[in-house]
Amino acid sequence: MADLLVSYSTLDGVYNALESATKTFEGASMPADGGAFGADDVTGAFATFRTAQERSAAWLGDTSRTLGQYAHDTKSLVQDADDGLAGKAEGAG
Amino acid sequence: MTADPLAGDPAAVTKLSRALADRQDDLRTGATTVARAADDAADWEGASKDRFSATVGTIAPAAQRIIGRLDAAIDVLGTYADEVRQIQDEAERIRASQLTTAMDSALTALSLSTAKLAAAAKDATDADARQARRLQSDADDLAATASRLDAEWDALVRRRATAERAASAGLSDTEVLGVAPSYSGTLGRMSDADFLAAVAAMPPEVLAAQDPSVADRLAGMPAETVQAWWDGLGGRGTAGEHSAAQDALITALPAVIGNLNGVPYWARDQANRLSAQRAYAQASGALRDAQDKYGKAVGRAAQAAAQRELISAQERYDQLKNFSAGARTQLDLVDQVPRQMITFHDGAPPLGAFSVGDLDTADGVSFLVPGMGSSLADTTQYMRAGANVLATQQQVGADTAIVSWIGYEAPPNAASTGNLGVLGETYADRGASKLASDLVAFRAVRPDAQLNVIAHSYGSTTTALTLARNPDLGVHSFVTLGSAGIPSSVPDAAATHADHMYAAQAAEKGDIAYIGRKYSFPHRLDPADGFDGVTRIDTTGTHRVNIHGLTAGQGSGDRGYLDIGTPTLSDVAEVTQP
Repeated sequence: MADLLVSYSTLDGVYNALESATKTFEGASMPADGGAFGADDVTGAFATFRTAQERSAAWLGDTSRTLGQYAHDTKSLVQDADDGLAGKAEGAG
Repeated sequence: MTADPLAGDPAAVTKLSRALADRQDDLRTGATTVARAADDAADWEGASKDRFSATVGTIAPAAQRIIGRLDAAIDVLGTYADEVRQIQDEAERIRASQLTTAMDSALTALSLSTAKLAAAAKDATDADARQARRLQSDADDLAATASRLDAEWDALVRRRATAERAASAGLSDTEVLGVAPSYSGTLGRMSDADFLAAVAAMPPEVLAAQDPSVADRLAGMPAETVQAWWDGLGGRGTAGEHSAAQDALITALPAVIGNLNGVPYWARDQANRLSAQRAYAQASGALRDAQDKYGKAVGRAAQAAAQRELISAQERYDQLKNFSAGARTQLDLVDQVPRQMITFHDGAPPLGAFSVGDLDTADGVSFLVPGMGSSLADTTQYMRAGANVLATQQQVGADTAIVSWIGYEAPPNAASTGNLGVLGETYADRGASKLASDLVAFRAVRPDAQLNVIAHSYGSTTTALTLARNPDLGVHSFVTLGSAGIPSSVPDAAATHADHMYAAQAAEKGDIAYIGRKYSFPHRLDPADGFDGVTRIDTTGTHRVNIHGLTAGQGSGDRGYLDIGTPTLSDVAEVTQP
């Protein structure tokens, strides 16, 4: 297993960027047709397209949020390890 | 249905197109931000970065594909709006002409009627006859015009129908939906092999957008079929090396892949971590909302309701937080080994299982089944207890893994809740099918590995039922620790079908296991006392076990069944290693 090398600021930067991306993806609204087509078949096809778009973009948002959380958790892992080492160093002293 | 040339609002369709273009801009911005995050992570190195990179690299291409589909839809809408606009203009012209013609026809008919009477009178002149003939000619011309306009209208109706069909087909096209037009209709009728091939060919954002029935069908596949399919996507793979198709499946359907029997455990781990992180993020939000609601509740009834909601949200948050913490909690091992989140079910309560050690490769695997009062909130505690067994085995060079299996809803703690479910078999009965499912799944992909079950307290009740009902699991050792009793339907060790059965029963403070057995209904048997075929494990000596738990609190002076230094730990480690 490769050793972990990373700074807190890097993980903070990654987390913040992915949080921002998540909000952008989730804010990308998919408009409703509002009866503009005047044809049931077209309205139905657009509804299917709209659902597919919403689900796909939701996946983008979910995945970005999950990765951001992952970066955040990795920072917690590093902090926990640091705290553990500090505790051992104090104990040794 | 007949198309209406005047229906619809082309200006609104054009506006809809512009809104889709705005959405494209948002998605581009999001994709750019993700790419920046990936760049920012350049100096992040290690296994955790590999996992990050594998997923982050899928987002920007997926966003580009979604933007491309919006492009295709914008084209379709643009063409439709132009066509509808032209048709409506033409329709209005025809309708106006029809109105004029109808009015002229009515007036002409009236005049013609009068002229005919005049021409038929005794004193009629030649002029009267000419007038009648002229008006008849005008009426004939108007009738011809009306007929022509009707034909033009019919042609316009057909043109409108053609425009609607084109728009409908265009919006259902692969370029717009990202999947063949009739996919959702045909997937359900495909053979398993064709279905799996179709699923594997979908990009993640399209797969994630599929109807839930796709996930349901996948989840119901036999383990052998799934295993062959997965291996066909680029080999069994490892966390570090696997195919793009396997990655797409993990990121698109984590809740399915994470629990899909036949999929290797490294992949289930990655998928379940995604699912658990999502669930944890949602639980964090729900807890904040519940706290906010409680703070604003006015009146006794509203406060009581808000308090119940808050307690429930806090409980769920604690469970998911501790389960996620299993990935990083400190474990005292001789050699660090991979940890795998091998199942995760985001239900009420959430359930899951966390392995210490690699289930895809370990020579021996033990499932640690907890008892009364256990939940995901105790994950790290069980992992630490299991790690004691693992570390003991590592000291003699064994390659093993231990799974903290919190995969069933255990009966609540009777002492703290007053719930006496632990005395019955209902919880064990329900849990047995879940445990069986996970053990069968393990056997399907690891027929070569030694499989053991270490069951604590009521977990031994659940496990006994599981093993008795599933004779082909090939369990090497079934170990009970402080058993809450074995159901009378499992009268001896042979009925569990395990090669060996062991039981440890300490002189516990509070006699918790004893009480659980004594007041059980139907009455359950003590596997450590006269249970035929069981080898008893020692709990006495200098470091004797004196509490019901698996581990005691630091500095308490007590010892649980799997605490370091106890004879029980040594024996359990010995009988569960290859």
